Amino acid sequence: MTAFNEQSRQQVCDIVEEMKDLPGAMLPILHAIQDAQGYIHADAVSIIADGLAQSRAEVHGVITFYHHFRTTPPGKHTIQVCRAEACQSMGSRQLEAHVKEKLGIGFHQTSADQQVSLEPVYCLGNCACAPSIQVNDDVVGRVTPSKFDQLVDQLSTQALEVK
Amino acid sequence: MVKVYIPRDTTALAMGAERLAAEMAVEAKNRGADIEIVRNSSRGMFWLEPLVEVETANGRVAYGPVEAKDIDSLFDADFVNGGLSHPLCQGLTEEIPYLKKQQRLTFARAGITDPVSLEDYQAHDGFKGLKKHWKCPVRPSLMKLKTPACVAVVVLPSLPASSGRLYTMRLHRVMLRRNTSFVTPTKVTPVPSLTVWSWKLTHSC
Repeated sequence: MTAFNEQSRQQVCDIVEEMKDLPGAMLPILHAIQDAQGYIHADAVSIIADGLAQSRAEVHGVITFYHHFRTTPPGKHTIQVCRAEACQSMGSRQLEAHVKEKLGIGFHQTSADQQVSLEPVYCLGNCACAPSIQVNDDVVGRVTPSKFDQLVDQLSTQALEVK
Repeated sequence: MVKVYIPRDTTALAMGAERLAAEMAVEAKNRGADIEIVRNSSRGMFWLEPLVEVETANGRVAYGPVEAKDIDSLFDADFVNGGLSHPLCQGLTEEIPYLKKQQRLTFARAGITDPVSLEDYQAHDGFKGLKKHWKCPVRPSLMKLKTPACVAVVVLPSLPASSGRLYTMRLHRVMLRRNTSFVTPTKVTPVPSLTVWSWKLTHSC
């Protein structure tokens, strides 16, 4: 992922400028930055704080309170595994163990080749077809270890095609 | 042109509806089958998703859960004409016991219409209550609207938006206090008052 260069800084400034007058602007701003850049760089915190007339500690507090926000660049793909009740009752713990073994990483980690970041998530709203995972923007239901392996293989195949 | 419905809600997508719809369109073209794929919402029978429905003279025939690998055999079983021989065939959708024993009010159109088609909405009694309400000289009761309360309330011409919200919330509260489920047919009549909205609820069955 790109470093926090002048372009990224300008993008953050533009987002803050555009959204700072919204009621409860902090969360929309954080979402917009993460959607655009993949994460919230430490240098963005002071820009947000200045724009909202709040302290950096307050911005930092919000970023670290919500697990959704990340402060490090994500891998090329993000996989979220649901750990909420319905999925657990349908075997998500076993799936979770398989996922970690297959990818060789734990939650909140990114694989060494920067291809996949693994995150826990607490309910994707797809309980009727649990266990669920989300691969980038797509929810996938009734995931079994073999189905998961297929999905990961598809992801890496796509990556090769890009090259 | 035969209408084939393939849902596009989260659960159907999570079970592969997007790929299914794309591959079915290709296969239909290859076989020269004249179908129109409509992306509806789910009927709520998530264990059957993706639930493919085909419009026939007798009503919609359902197949589910359909995966992309089933497309060939579905065409072979003449699903385009509602063929009943396929192992995934669930018969007429409306006859599936889970649906048949329900009376749907706020979800009455869910899965039936194309959710992004205004024409389809209007063809299924959309805006009917609103039109009736518009002609009414006095502020009518919610009963007359017969559309989901939240939709109706937002457009009430004689109420500002804030009281519209109050109107809905109060109705919910009354319903909760009476332990009345939204699927129970309930007659709602307003009790006239200048200051407080209150509602009289009676079960109609």
